[in-house]
Amino acid sequence: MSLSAFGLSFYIYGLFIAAACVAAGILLLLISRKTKALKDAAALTCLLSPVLGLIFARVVYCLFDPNFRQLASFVAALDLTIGGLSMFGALLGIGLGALLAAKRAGVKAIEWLDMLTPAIFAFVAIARLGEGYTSLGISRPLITGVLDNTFLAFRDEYDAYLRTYYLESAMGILLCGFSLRDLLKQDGRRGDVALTGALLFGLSQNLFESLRYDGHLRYSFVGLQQVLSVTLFTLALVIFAVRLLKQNKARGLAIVSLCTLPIVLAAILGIEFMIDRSQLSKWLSYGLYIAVLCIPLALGLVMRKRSGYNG
Amino acid sequence: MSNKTRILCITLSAIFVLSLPFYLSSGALLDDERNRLLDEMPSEGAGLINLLIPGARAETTAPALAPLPIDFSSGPKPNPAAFSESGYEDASISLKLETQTQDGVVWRIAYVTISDPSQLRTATAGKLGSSRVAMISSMAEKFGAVVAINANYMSNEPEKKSFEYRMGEKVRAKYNNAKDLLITDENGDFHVFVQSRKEEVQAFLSAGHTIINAFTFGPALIKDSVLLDLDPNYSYNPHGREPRMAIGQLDKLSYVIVLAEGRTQESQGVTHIELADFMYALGCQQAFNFDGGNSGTFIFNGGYYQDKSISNERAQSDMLYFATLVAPKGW
Repeated sequence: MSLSAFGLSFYIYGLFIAAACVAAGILLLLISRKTKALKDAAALTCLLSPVLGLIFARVVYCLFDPNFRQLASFVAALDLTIGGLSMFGALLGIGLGALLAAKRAGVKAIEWLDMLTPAIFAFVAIARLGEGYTSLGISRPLITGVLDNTFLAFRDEYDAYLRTYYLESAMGILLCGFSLRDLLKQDGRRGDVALTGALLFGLSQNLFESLRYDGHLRYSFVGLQQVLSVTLFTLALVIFAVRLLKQNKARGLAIVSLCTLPIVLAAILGIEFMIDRSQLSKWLSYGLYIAVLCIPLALGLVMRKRSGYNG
Repeated sequence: MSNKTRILCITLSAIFVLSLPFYLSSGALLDDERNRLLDEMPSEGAGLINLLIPGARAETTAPALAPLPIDFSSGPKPNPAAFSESGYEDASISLKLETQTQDGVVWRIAYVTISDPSQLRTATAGKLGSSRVAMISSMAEKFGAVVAINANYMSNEPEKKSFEYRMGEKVRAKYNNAKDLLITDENGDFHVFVQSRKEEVQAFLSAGHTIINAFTFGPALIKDSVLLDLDPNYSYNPHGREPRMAIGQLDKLSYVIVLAEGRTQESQGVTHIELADFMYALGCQQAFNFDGGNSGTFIFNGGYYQDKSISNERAQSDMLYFATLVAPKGW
């Protein structure tokens, strides 16, 4: 969807992405005013991350989207106006840009990732809203009338669909606030903000990717971004556990957490099948889904507390 | 880094970010662009031949009722009074439903006879080729289907390498030698192509036929009244007992839809071979397996002609349906 103003034509989706970059950049600049090195890192991140984010978002999409791959041509991949970006690719590029900036400015990478986390979530919160002007960010058809006539439901000629991008945006705002508060409190270890952010984002995104049914980066019944979100929270949990084991603290908790992971992953897979095939109420299925996701969430947060300076 | 350098970095970043609205159109590949790119790809079909040599039309007596357009328009609303528990009957279409239980399998069968090929129709949830999905039940209602079934859930093909047409429009034309192909032509006749061989499709087009619908899925079960030897490794779980959906042609403008229910206590489902045998026993000249499992959806008179509810109906990208020619003013 595009708009024309002042004799210029521009895409609404692109406008939201630009606004998301601006908001994230401003937040990062505000957070990093303490030292000259941090200011340098912020300025460099503002320069590198949007460029690398865009490149990675496009590359991941072009390489992995089955719809695009059938048309794969170098020229088509370079033409951004035809559409096609991956959020996880963008986050990868943003992270890489931030790490390069931190290295150049002489800031510890882990400290910089902590500072970047709230800005990333600010970006996600606004960027997701842009999906409302594309074919992305909607669920399977709703089979309940509960959400009909609310702003959360979108109705076409056949069915009503949940606007998942609103939920994702709201979660982005929530995570931004949470990580900002976490960062400002400064009572954890270095890396805690980023790791907790990865855990929370991975878990929530896993649920949203289950809700989304827009065919984006989807291979049959498997969504690439859902696999990546599972990978993200699994990695965060494993790092928390390994940190505890290395510190020789709460080893039992760490081992239980690692052992629980395969069970949680199996449960997620089972619930996905149930959502697709069983006659069980979708409310109940997703309630169960959230309950299962609360297990790694609780384990991760407890491990973080136990491995921190105050733990 | 000096203040000036930092300001330069931020200014360059701002210029880059402010340029984004001019070229970032969507996170998804735009439907129109995908269709344009598809058209620009070297064609593997024989569209030009069709354009230059108009297809021969079968000789038919003048229909009493006007045919429906070959496009994505809806059929006329079926007459509620023409529905019965066992089917639907009007001047243009005859539908007879039957349920058989054999060896622990519940078979849902629909015999359909139409008076014009245009009554055999397909519909998609979104724009042609898009990933949009909708309930078959919702689509059936919107398109005025007398009976509707799922087809091959074409947007779900992971490799997107398939030969697909809907209502005369090309979705994609990639020959997939690992998959069989069903084409319906301008006469409503079925043409089954084992392993989607390009030469055979070209020969079919050269014979003056027009592709109305093409579905890559399979396996092809019966071709020219011959029960086919099925590839033992074809597609998903060929030897497993699963819910299966198939369509066959019995005679000119006469078809049969078969759903073998499965994954329930009442019905265990069937293998590909059992399905093929069943279709053969029904007397099919051509028969083809569609997407089964939970995709198998059989809609009749606004409800399910199977053990299914809206809670576990799988939303899909496309459906096949039969429409009436009798408009409400003719009731």
